[in-house]
Amino acid sequence: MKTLIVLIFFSLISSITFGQRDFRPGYIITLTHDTIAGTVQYRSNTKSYKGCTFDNGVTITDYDATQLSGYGFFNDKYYPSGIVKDEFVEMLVGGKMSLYKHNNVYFIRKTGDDKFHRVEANDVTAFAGTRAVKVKDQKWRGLLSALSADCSKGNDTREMKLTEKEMTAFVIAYNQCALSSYAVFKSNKPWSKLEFGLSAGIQATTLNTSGSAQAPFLLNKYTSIDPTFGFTFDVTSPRLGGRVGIHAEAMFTKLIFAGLAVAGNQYHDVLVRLTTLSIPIGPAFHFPGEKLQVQIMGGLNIDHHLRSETKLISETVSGSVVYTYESEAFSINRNQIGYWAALTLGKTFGDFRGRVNLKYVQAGQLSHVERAIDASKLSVSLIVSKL
Amino acid sequence: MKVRQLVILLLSLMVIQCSEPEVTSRNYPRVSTLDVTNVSSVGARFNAEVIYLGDFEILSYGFVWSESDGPELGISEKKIFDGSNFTVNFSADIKTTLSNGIRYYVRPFVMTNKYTVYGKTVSFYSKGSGFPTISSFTPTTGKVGDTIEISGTDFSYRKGSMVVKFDSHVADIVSTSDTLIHVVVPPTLSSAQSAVRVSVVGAETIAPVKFTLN
Repeated sequence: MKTLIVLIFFSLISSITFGQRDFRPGYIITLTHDTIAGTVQYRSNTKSYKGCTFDNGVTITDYDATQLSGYGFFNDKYYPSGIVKDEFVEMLVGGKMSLYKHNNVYFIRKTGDDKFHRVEANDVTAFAGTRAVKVKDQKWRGLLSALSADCSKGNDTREMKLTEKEMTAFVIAYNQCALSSYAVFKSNKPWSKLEFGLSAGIQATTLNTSGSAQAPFLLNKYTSIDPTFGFTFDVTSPRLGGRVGIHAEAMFTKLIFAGLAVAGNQYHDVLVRLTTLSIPIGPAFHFPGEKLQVQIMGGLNIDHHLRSETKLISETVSGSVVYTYESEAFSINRNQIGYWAALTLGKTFGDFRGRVNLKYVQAGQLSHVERAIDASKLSVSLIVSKL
Repeated sequence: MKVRQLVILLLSLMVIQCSEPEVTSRNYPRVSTLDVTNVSSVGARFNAEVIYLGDFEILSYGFVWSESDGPELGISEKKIFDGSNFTVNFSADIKTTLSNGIRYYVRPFVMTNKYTVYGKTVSFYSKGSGFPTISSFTPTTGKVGDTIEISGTDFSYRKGSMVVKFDSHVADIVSTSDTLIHVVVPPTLSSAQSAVRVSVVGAETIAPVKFTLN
């Protein structure tokens, strides 16, 4: 039931997320080279190649690559048309040597040369002994060397990787070597950005067992609702769009589980105390919006129990005499490895960002008592971070 | 919901949840054994807490201890208090019956009109204990075979822990508690006057008045 509620909630929020529109100041350039300012919908690169949605303040219009020479955002990305059929490409550097990107393919054009040189690494079959393996071809290195042959400082392609960052650096180096003026789009955006936050909230943790079939003193389920607090870390690359990043947390929680199992003339009280450091880490997908910023994230979760204690208090009623016994209920695994998923709704307030984080963790095995005891956690927390 | 309201809600929940779980109820009181403290050459202190009392009336309470696990009323050393003085946290200073270097097992108990409830057993190593005290005995004169009642404190409920002598003549113990001993004047006694000596696990005390044999 709880899983169903979580799924419904995530679906609802996802539909809200994808329904949001993020318009930012920008411009379109018509086929007759008129520039019209307004706001342009900020979307993922894949969608940005297909077309643009432009708001001139009165009407919102969708354009494709056959209808515009290009469009862009002020001090940010620029997408010209005419390089890839019926689609826009992203212009990364403009100068004597210009660089464009379309999905994972780069295009280079030099001034005076009408040709756009396609730079990509294709899969080719190679043989390791008699075994065929797929590898990336390296022809692009030779192409770059040839294109930059007229300026020796910018043409060392031996250690390069075919990434946006290294391609941009290569083209900038060439333009600097050739003493050409050049423009780097998105240059005011850093390649990587760390956002540090403080988090506090409430966590409901459930221990799932097989009950009395597992051990006579166990209930099927133990639940603990506890405060949780800690730190969050978000790493994104604004230069690469900032849509995908890494999210990590270090959350401290003190948990107390208790339950009474009755079997005939025996009463069993189980008490479990844990002080846990939880470290969820994984990719985060950002969906910027005008009113709300949404993140969907998930990945690997590590629970490290800083302190753990289990106690079993058993009482046996024998006629009119009651005997009490105490022992450890079960041993605790010091570390639990599991997985997590979370949904975050955020809003910016000046230099700060507030986010409400709803997270589900399947935490793996807490203990072994004949069969395993595992734990699941559902938490809601408030994250405040400085931008 | 505004952010401020959400923060207040989260903080409120955090405060509410920082508490220990409630002790589950029973149809008898529940007693928890605490650690033995003040272990020294003159004794030790036993401690306990009633964690669930309900509406039950405690008729008596105390501790039982022995050299083997699972001490019980009737067969082990014990300290019994009347229920009229009961408090949920209770202790007993044990001044005799403990021998040096011996591991003892101890547990508390409480008695209602229906149940005797024992707490869990804990153990400790004794460093020894002190001497019993004799306040009086009666009659102070008598003949061989008479029964003498000795009053005092820190005697033992177990006959096996105690030796009563008239000078060097061992007397049969008829009955014993921690404050009263009934003994029979030994048939081998011939001295006109003899010292009444009570020892608990080897720690001996001599009565201030001598017994006079008729």
